[in-house]
Amino acid sequence: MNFQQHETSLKNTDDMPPWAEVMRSFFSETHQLFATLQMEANKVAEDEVCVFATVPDFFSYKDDDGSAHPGAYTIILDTVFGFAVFARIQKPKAIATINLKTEYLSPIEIGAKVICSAECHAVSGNIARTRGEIFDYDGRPLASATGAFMIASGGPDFTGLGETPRS
Amino acid sequence: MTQLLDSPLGSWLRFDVEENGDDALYSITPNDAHIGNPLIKALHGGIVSTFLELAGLHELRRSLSPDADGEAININVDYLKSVALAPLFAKARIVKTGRRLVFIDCVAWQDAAETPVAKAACSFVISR
Repeated sequence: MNFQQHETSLKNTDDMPPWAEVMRSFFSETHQLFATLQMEANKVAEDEVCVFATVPDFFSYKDDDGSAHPGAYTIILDTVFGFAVFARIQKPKAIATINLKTEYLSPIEIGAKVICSAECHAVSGNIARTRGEIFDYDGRPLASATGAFMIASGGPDFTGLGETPRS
Repeated sequence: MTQLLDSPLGSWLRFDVEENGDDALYSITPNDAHIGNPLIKALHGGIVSTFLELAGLHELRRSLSPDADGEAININVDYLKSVALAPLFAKARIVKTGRRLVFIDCVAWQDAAETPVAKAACSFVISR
């Protein structure tokens, strides 16, 4: 597994579709949660979204133990699933998680650098299904999950979100 | 038992437990750091999941012994309603305790317990 092969950089703002612009803005400093997890998109394609993330130290929940609460996995997966839906429908629509089922395959440590790979593999009406995994940099699987999302027909308009906080 | 409350994660979420006899009421008080969708200022789904699992783990320790520990195997969360940036409450119910496994259901709400915003089913393996 070579994560370096995808050099799709969201820092290059030219010829970026509007939904990807939304995603880029989510990964900027303006989104506190994603900034603290140091989330950075590595690949954005209709069939796969890959995001790097680092487990922050405040996920520590046991004494004298470097382990992080596995809830960190759910935050990363729910986020990347959302972007996998955007990448599939190619529109920055409002979406909401309906269910998230997460399998914890291996414990996670504070400061661990991980990669999350996800895809939206089915869209039926307003319901989108996602699946994905989290790996460490050696390719060892840490968590796997599936999700169902509701795609709103109306709802908040994401276009322009990228511009507003940049004053 | 205060371990989870005093942990860095407990402080970050402002996780709290109000124990009343056999009953425990769990809560977190989220802030801007926990927002998922900045447009509607909704709480991130992963934060809701993390909270419900923490409540489940605390309930496991309460029911077994403070020294007992559980390692989560998996968690299934249903999001029933969008969760506002306001205190979130939860109750955890032990469905079954076996020799090795504990199954726990958690329900979360904001305005009233009758209108839940999320529910979770967690499985833990007991490590003593």
